[in-house]
Amino acid sequence: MEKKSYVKPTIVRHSIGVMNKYGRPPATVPMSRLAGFDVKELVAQYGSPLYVLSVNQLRQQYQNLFRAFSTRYPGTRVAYSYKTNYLKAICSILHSEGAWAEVVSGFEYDIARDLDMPGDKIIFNGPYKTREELTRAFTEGAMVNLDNYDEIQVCEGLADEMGKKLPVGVRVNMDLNNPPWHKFGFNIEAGHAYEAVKRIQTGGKLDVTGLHIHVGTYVDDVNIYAAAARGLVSFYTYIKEQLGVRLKYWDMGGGYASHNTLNWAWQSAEYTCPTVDQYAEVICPILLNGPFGSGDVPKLFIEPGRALVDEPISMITTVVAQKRLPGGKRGVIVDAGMNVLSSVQWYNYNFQTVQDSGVTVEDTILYGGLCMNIDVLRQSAALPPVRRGEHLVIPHVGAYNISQSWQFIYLRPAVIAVDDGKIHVIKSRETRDYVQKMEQVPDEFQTYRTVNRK
Amino acid sequence: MKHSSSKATAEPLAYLRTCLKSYGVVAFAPHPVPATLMLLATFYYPLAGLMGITGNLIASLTARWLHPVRAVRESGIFGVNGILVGLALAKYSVPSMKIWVLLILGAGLAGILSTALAGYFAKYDLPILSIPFTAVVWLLLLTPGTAAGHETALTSFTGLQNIDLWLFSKLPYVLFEYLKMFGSIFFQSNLLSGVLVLAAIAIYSRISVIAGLWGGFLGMLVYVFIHGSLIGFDGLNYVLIALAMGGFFVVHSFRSVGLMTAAILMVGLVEAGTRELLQSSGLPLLIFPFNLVAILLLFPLKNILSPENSKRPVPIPLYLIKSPESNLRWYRRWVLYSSRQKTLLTMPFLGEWSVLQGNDGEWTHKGTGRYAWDFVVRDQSGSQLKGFGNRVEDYYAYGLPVLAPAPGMVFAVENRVNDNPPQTANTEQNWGNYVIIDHQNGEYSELSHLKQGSVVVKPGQYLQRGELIGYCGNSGRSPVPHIHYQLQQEGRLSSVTIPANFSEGLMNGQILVHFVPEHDARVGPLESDTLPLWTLLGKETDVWVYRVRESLLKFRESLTFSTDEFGNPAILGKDNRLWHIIDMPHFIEIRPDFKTYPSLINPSLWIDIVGERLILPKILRDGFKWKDGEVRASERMPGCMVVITANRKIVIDPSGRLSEMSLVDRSDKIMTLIKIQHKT
Repeated sequence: MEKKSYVKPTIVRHSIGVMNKYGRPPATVPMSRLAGFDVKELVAQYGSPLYVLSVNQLRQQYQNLFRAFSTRYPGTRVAYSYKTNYLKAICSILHSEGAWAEVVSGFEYDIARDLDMPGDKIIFNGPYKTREELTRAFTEGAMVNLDNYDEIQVCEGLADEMGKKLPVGVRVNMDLNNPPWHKFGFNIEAGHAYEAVKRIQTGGKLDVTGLHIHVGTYVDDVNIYAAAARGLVSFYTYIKEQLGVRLKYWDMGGGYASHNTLNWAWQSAEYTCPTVDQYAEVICPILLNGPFGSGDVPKLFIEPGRALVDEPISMITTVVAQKRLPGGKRGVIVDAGMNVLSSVQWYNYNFQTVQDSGVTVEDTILYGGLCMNIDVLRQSAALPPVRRGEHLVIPHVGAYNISQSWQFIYLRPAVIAVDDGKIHVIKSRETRDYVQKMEQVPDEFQTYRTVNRK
Repeated sequence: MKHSSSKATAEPLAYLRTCLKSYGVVAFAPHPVPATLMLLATFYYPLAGLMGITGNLIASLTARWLHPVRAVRESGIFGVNGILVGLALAKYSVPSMKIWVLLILGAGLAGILSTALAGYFAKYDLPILSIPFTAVVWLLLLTPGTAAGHETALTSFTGLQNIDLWLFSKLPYVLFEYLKMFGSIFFQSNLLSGVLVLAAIAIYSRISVIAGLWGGFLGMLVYVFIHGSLIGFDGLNYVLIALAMGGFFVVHSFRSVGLMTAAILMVGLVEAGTRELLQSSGLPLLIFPFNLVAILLLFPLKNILSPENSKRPVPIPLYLIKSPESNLRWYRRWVLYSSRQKTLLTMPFLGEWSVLQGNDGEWTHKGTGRYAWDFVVRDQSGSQLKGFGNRVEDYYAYGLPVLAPAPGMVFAVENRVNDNPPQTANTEQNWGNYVIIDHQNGEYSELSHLKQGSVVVKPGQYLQRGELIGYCGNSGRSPVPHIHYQLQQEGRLSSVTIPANFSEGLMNGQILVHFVPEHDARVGPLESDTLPLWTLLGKETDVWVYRVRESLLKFRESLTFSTDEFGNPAILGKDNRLWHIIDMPHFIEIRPDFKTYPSLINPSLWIDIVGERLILPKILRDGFKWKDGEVRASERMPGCMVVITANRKIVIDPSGRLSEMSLVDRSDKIMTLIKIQHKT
């Protein structure tokens, strides 16, 4: 029999199944298989930690979302928000389902073009676009949504250079949530948006053909979208009357929630996260009441990112140690740090055991493997007993964690995609060569080497 | 000033044109070329020809003053009666000053009588033929001292008469009489006029000339049968009835040939009887038998027999008549259109749905209700629901918007029936909550099983295409949430359904026009792409010039992209126009005759071009497969896309404009079409 490591005995009150002050109880059924594969075997083959993408689920997320909007609004386009996860394989899967690309930088624009997305299937947002990037976008027919006056000025210059009127979208914002999202575009209530559209139209070099609003991120209150849609409709009505603007599209942005519980939420996301149908149900009828006839219905763009990729990707981690804190609370250290799970700032991730550890759970603090005090993955989770070498699966980690990950003291994990029983590595585990590839060490700095060698 | 002077010369010119046309109308060939030949034929006897012209000018002028409708005034029928008055007077009276006065008065009277009769007959869409002429000439011949009592021997050009006599000696007697008969249409009893008139008819219409020859032949037989010999035979009534019934007033067909033959026999009967009757008063028969028989046959055909009776010969509305051949073309087009459903339908929903039960379905679409569809929403795995399916809300279709498939007036609405739990059905109120739309063309749309309380329209309200009428529910005989749709004959529930197709849409990823959604197919509407599409088609007042090569034929075709008086985008060709109808993503062609034809069936070349351009950008954008082809990048021309279909190869340059198109039509002739110019 294997020798167990010593754990100081403590007395813990048992709590089974019901919801308590620590939040949602753990799943009583251990998650020994992931997307049809044995978790332990996956780790044995691809290492730990490991991101696992279920391709089927990703496709379903897209189809579900597209169905919800396209059956309620004629001419719906889904543009995938690249920044949530721009792994080329993931973008490719979504493009093959019909998604367009929503990019916010030249870097992302290049990825989309590299994946053979034509310019007119790319939406170019973001507050910082260089002149060169804008030139390319306009030349290739991308939809450019302007964020500020400086950008308007640059684009007017480009219009002069190119010798034609350029179609542009205008990003607008409204006081919808607390704190309000005022960063993107021009505010409607303060009159800035109207001023901007008027400025563009009177300039005569650009033509406003689209409106863009992004109400926030992880917005689980559909009423915010309803208010935003109403705002867009009344704003369009006004600029159509006053300035003769005719929209070809309006863009409701992204921010649709996924099934992850926020840190400060009282209830689990299972109960609070709206379905895509619920979003579509409030947005579409309001927009369809806009000031247009059946012949000139503006296209509706939505730019989901989180709602598409968050849920299809899970992470497998391995317990490396556990300890008892002074207050008696149990601490568990896993091999993934917050550098590869940056969304722990927002989410109370659900840590699921892989092996059957009984029904007894204990309040546990989960630490990441970084040598940093702040590297806490979850302050309080109800976990059954786990031991070093056992695995924990964290579902729904697809959004932002990979694109925002940073390399710090460990090499970042591989990403595999499981598609109909086949495994594809879509990003290999980092190597030290790869990480230090861009580094150069001048010889003058290495005099110590000769000394050491002696 | 300029305007008025041009108008001043235009009016007399139109008058003279009408007068010339009248000569053709006498033998049912209303066209200047045969008319000129026939005019020549009347000058065998110069005096008769002159009297014909005089009668024509006077009768036409009278009708010009009297008849209010320009199209009728210029149809030439009034001149016909004048011409005939002149020619008949020349034949049946001794020329004198008095006759000339009588001719002028008689022609004027013929004009007045024609106008009056035309007004009366218009109600029945009957032609006045030469009835006024017959009445007037009888009247004149009864005037004391007019009638010669015999055919007068007019003097003709000596040379012509010699030719005629020489031919008479050479040709068999029967053939001579046969050919001479055609001249008698203009009261010219000579061979040369006969040949000239026959030639004029032959130039104008093949159907007419064959009918005329048959009529003359049969007429001779009938005459010989009744009278025992050809003595006294002139035959014009037989020829005229054959021309009229052989394809001019009635569409040429096997049935019309039967009708024509019967009419010829009737003319023989009428002629035999009335000839004896009239002889007592010394009056010639003129064209009385033809007029009587033609009106007797046309009246019931046009006014009594049901137009739905497909077995009868088909009469043609007078205003459409041009020639037997054009009548035939009109009739074929008419059959094509009238056999179609009248309502252009689009999908009554948004996005992609599936056909749960199609026409002749296995559950309820049977008998008179067989032309119906049940639509549901399915996900990629084919499931209609998420969750456990114990609540209607679990079904994707539940609560989705339902739209009007075509414009019309809301006829009836039910909005109070409960939604059933899934897998149960309310067979008391089969149709559940429904909306019936009256398309005001004899067809009605019925949409069923809507969500309780969700119907947003009221009876009497007028709907646009695609307007929201309610939301999908599960009321009535509906085990799962779905939309039931049918096109039906009446506004009541359970009315007889009409076999219908949808004008355009997607079925299993393909763009289709006039298609019937099949069982289990995934279907959806085409997106309304009017604005972007229009901008792709061309800027306002762009002119595209195409060079068309069709085998040996080369010609240029220019299209102007512009707007019409109402600001609707329109494409103008040489003498056709295409209008873009905001209501439908279709183009409608308007021809100079101001009738509309949907462009989809029209064979003219440039409509094909524009039709293709309409659909192409959609394919390129979304990677759709064309019905019988595919889109791929061109290897020869970088950046260009090529669409190859069964009968077309189309190249589109990077800006989305069509740069080259080859057409292969059914006869395998290859047409090359290259855009050579783009003027702004």
